[in-house]
Amino acid sequence: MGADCPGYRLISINGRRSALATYDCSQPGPCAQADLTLEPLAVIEGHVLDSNGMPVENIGVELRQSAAGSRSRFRRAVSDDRGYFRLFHLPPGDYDLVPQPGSGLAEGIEWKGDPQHLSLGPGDVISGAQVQLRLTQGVEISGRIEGLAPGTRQVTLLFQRPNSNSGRTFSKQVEVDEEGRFKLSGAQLGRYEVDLLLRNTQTPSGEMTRTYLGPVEIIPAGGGLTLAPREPVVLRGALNVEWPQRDDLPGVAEGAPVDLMATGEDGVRRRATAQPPDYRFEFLGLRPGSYRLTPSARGAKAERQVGDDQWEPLGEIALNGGDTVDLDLRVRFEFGRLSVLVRPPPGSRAAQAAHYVVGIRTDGVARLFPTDQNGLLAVNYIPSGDYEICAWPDISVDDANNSAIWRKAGDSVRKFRHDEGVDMEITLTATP
Amino acid sequence: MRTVFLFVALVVAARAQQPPPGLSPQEPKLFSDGVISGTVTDSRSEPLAGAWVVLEGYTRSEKPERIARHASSDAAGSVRFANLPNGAYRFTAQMAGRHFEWRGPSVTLGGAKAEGRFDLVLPRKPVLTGRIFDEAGFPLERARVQTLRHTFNDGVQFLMRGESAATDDRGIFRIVLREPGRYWLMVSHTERSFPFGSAPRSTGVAFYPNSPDLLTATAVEVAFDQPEQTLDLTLPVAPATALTSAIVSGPAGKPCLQCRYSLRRIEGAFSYEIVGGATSREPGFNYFGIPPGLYRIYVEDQGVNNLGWWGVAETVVADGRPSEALIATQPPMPISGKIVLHEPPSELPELSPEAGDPIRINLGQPNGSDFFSMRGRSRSHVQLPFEEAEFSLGPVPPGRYRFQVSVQGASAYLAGISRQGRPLVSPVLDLSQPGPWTNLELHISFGLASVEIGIAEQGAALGEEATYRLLIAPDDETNPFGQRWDSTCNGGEHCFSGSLPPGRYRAVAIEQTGASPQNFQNPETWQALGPWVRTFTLTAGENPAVQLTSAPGASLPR
Repeated sequence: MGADCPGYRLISINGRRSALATYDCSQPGPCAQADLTLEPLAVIEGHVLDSNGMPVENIGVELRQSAAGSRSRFRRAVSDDRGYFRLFHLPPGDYDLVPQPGSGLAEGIEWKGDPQHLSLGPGDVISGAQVQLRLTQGVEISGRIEGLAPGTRQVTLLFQRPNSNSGRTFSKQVEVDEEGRFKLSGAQLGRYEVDLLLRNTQTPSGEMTRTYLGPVEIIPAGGGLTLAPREPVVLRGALNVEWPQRDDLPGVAEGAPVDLMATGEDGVRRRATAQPPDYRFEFLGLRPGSYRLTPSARGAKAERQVGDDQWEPLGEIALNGGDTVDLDLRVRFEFGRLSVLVRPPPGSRAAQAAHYVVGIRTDGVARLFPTDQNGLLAVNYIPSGDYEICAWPDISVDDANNSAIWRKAGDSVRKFRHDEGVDMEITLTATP
Repeated sequence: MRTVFLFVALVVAARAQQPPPGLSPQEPKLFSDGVISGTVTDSRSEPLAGAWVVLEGYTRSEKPERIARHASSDAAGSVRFANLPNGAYRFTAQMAGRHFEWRGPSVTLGGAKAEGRFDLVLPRKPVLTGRIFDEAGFPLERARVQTLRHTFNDGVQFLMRGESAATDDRGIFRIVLREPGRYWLMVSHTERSFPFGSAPRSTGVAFYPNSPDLLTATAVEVAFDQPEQTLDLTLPVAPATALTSAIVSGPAGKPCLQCRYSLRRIEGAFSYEIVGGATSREPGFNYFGIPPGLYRIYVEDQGVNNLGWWGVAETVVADGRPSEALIATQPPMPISGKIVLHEPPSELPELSPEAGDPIRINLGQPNGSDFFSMRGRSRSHVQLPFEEAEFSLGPVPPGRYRFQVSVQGASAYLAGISRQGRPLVSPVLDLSQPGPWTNLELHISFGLASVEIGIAEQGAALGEEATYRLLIAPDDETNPFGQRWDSTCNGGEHCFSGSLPPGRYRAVAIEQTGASPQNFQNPETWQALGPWVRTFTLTAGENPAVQLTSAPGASLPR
């Protein structure tokens, strides 16, 4: 059960704040009484202003959740022709308001602004927020590119911020002399990964080739950069997909393309899609480094063959410059349904089963699942591992992640090992 | 210690006097003491304070260096850039809510103490704003407000989607338009109506002012420098319509799980998208509450096996009873034929082997449906040697395609197309008509007409800052294969200096006073420009110069 009311969010059902409840209404007649409590959501509105106090148009303003410590956006608005922006339906919490200026005035002349911290309570309306921007002018840098073909006069350098899949990039077409020396103006300070883009003049279509030149840092009054091509890294192969032989699981469509994610040490993820029918894949533009390769579909595991009919999970793959790695992988889907029945605590006055909240925890991190009014719960997918499980009449996420609460639950906590692909049933007694 | 320090300082000073690397001492000296000043005003010449002006240009040296500076205008609207090296500079300006387009020539600085000037006019951009309500009078959040305008391409009138916006939590939308013109406003609320039509507050589609159809709606006229227009709309309750469809694709007619589709409602000569999407789990789509009427459904297979297979179907969606549609895709169409050279010059140019084959045939992107495009594996151009006549292009989805032909080193043009021996009336292939398109003849003629077109001076009116837009269009009746030309110049005798296929043409020049981009394929525009249009016939080889008198840039039909 949920509630959709613009400007409000559902925070509790029958006074229980921990999780939304599920109801088994398979029998005719009234099945439950639910009193919903809604909480008003907050609004932030304001203006994006430049150093003269004038409005700036078309500037992205992102709201990020501070607690999550993540770089991912929670909401985004764009300033209009009056510099005005409005973010609404915001749950209470701590946020960072981050300007995302996009394009500047011209090449090398960019808008910059600092994040600001905000705390929002239920129903707060923050009017008159000000996002201050200033203009920064890029610097001139010089350098040399090694290993260019003789006669190369013009190349394009692509500068990309590390640790971001979509972050700030700029590309510059530069003239190079016989020794590969170049000058470049309007470069913004910071660390970049640099690629060389060259048009292939040997073929009539003149397609672009892209060569990785390594990381650089542009500093004020920076000296010369020396850039040399790094050998390319190729990671490719084919998947042998074993689709699960059951149709009671959502999210698995036989014959669909399978996405693979390569996660580097810096946390940057690159995606390659293996398309049916042959499920071949190739990662483009990988840097040398170590990668973890995982299928992005839920429950999917990639394994590589190590002997006759012997498979092992794919670990880290180290790629050096010049490597071409061909991988033939098996992808299996391991689902196992976990069914839980929660019984009332002994001696409780409520002889009947009721709504409970079940915590399942591994490595000190708990996830919460609500049962229906009969104490029943079915979880479609949890990864293999060792778990602790416990049921409470109601519990908050914070409490569920507090070890003292689990210790206090004593004998009500049960330990179990779950193997993927295996259905299992657990009967629990709720904590008093 | 003091002596040593002085010595170092002297060396630095001596080095500083040497010419910079790459600049030989014989070159003319590059002065860096130039000043460019200017003003920023609104359309009524009132100064605008706080506008950001960017100067960008290159120095006049053997190795030109890029110069980029920025400054904001003061209370008098003035901006000044000092210590500029000799070079040529252009300007851009940015100010919230204002439009800017640089039309003037570059400002050049040469010699010592050079000075330059610029004047920038920033009109206010048109703004449409308002609130969207449901029938109960509640403001609707996340309603989609889409602007539509009609435009012309290859002589065909069609609707183009313009800027759009979504309403906020107060039901308010705000759209800042880039171009003046006549706009329709279409409002829908897809999240609460289709495709999840079961929601209790399901709403339909409305056009400003509260009309259920485009043809009964009123277009809003917008111009620069007008006050923002407030347009409130009420969305009606969704009609009781239901459209269920299935898509089959490929030679075996299998259900399509990777098809892209668009549902376009047709009203008279216009069609516009009501909703679109892609199939994934179900080989089709269901929509409830979409407006009743005639629909054309476009489908494209994006799967690996039948990539580019396409389908177009029409269906009527009626109020009060369910409708069904079955769409079956067809393969993309190959385009092939041969080229026929008409009286080539006795000596065709001798070409070096590296230059590649000399005849190039290009098939432009399709026009008209704005759903299909040439992508993936289809070939859009081919190059042929003189000895070979057969060409093949595509395969392509339906649409209106235009051929372009060039012959390297020769003044050649596409003079006609025939299909099964019958000449086509225009170089535009309408691939929504029945095929096959595999038996075309492209007729290539030689001998372009060269001509100069100038704009006559009108006394003092032809100032340094005047800019003209020059339009050349072939006569539709007699010269369908002629070439269209659209450019700007600063007046004078050489506004156009080039070659066109021979035949009858009309040309007009319009003084560009403000920012007023218009679609000059609109026949009404040519009618309005009547007194200033000159008609002339070009023959192969040299032609007498053509002189135009410029039309004032007053308001023209859009």
